[in-house]
Amino acid sequence: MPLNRRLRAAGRWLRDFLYGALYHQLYLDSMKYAASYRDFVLFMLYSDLLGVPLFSNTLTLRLLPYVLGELYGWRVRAVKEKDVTDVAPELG
Amino acid sequence: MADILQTPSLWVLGALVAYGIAYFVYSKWVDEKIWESSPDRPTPAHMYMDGVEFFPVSRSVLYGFQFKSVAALGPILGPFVALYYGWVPALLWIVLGNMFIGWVQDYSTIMITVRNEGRSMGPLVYQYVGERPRSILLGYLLFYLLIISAVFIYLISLFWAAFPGTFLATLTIIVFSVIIGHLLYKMQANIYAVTLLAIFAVVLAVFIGVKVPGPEQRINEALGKNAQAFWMVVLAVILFIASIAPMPTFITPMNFVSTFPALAGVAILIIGALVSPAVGVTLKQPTYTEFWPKIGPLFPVLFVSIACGAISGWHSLVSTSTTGKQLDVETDARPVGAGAMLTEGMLALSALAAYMVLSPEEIGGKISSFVLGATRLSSSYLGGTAAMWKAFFALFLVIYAITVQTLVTRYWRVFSGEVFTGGLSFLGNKYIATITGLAIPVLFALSGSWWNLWIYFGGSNQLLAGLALMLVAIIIVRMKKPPTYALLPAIFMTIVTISALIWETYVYAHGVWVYLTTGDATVLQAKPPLSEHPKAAFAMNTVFVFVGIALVLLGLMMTYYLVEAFKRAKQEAS
Repeated sequence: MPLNRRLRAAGRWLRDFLYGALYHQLYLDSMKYAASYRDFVLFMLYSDLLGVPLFSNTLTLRLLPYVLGELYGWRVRAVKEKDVTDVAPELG
Repeated sequence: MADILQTPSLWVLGALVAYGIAYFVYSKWVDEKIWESSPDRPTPAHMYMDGVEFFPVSRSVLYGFQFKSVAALGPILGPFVALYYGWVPALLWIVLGNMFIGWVQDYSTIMITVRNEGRSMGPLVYQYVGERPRSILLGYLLFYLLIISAVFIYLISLFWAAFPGTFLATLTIIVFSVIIGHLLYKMQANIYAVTLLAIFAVVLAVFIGVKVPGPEQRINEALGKNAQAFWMVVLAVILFIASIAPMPTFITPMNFVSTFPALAGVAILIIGALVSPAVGVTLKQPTYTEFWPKIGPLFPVLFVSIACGAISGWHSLVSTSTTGKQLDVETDARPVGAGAMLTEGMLALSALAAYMVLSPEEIGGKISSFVLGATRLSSSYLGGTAAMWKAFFALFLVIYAITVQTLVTRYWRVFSGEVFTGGLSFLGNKYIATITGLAIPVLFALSGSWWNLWIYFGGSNQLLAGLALMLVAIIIVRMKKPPTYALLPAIFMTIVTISALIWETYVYAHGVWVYLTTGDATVLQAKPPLSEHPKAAFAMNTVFVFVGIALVLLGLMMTYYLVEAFKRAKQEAS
């Protein structure tokens, strides 16, 4: 591999490493934080998909196209059994 | 230029070669022959992709994340305890422990999660060992969290008392973290601007640490020997707020800001150790002292004094709870799990180097001497004043510890909510759980016997590693593959750690017995001000005896269930 390509690859690796070390945890925490609110709203609107009829009406159908992409992930998170070791903090 | 044999450089380079062999030969063999990892087999990150918990992440990003997650204070402070045997035993344990046990655990626990639909430690124990062992594991973790909290609360308050100016520097970081949390989550500020602000906060904190030691000095002088107890209470208040407040307002941004000095400090230390021959920093510690110094016999104490850096049980929880769920392809487990752990070994060696360049008189039994050694390593090649580096490394230690401790306190709260049920459910209440999760460790820390608590911490942490390795061996047997590479380390770690826990329980029990029979309080494990109140010191030591007994019994029960599960797995596999 030519030297300049090697250097570029090394630069990319360093950038990714720094992203992983500095920002990935922040990203994960932010996603979990956002998901906690989103999941609640989705549960209120589409709980019938989990067999809990709470708020099913025509409004939920009108909103469906906007949340379709998120429904699968929400259902997986909602029905998955939670364990306290899932949230073990990164302590080293 | 100093004689290279008299500097840390050669030994760090030698370890680098050993780690290279572990990575390029041993781990490759395990990956290809035992696990037969394949880039074509779908991982949970793809199978259950939800963009929150499960999603594929590139291996270099995940490597950086795993390294940052596993590299904390363990590899930095552990070598100090191990130095009581000389630097050669410490060095050998860091190198050999990591080569044959450390990476094995981190890599294998990622693999068991990947091969088991992204399950974390609790569900895996439930699935392969049984319901009761999972409950025992949770009970064991409760004690473990109390011990780790006691050790960290003691150390943070010690650093605040030992380095005036560090508290204000820490407070600066905390205030900026809260501002950054607000900017990020309420005002959705640009991440580059926030990064610059975080770096500015760190620089300002170091500046304050250098320039404004006065107020803390006056507090320390006014309180005398009670100064550390005062700092413990201040710390407990901060931790209480951190545990109660929503994550994005306190812990998440603080975790983010603290990563900058932590990563910078780690890089500075590693480079400092490597360039030591060029700048004339030489070794001043004895190579070997004795088999039985005052902290206990080399076997088993050495093997639990350096936890992370050689092997750490907590990594199994990190690997199974987060990393294993984001692995893009199976073949990434080796660079991420094994690679990050072996890199952490480098960090432990650099921290050891920081102690090795100090004479025994300079260390003087003070763990805070790390700051002095790190200052010597860094200023020798980067220049700068000793005061600046001292302030930086003192902040480095405190920020590392306090970030970990905020997470531990919060985790204790979440954990209590899960574990305490029925008549004890009030203990899971948000406020009550936080108060108990702080009050008990503060009481433990007030005893001042952090040496002994460090052995409890190391012992319980390493025992967790032994149990995780045993679980790995069970899963490998069920795959009809030879489990020896995980089974032997599991047996070794279990024997060593249970022996260490029994030893430390004996140390406390011996003190209690002698006090009861002769009234001699000097044998009790306590420091001022508690040692001036023999009855209180006796009570605390008695509590520690029961804590030790509980850890040993829970560890033995867990081992029994794992051995039974292993036998069952072998029978079913044959």
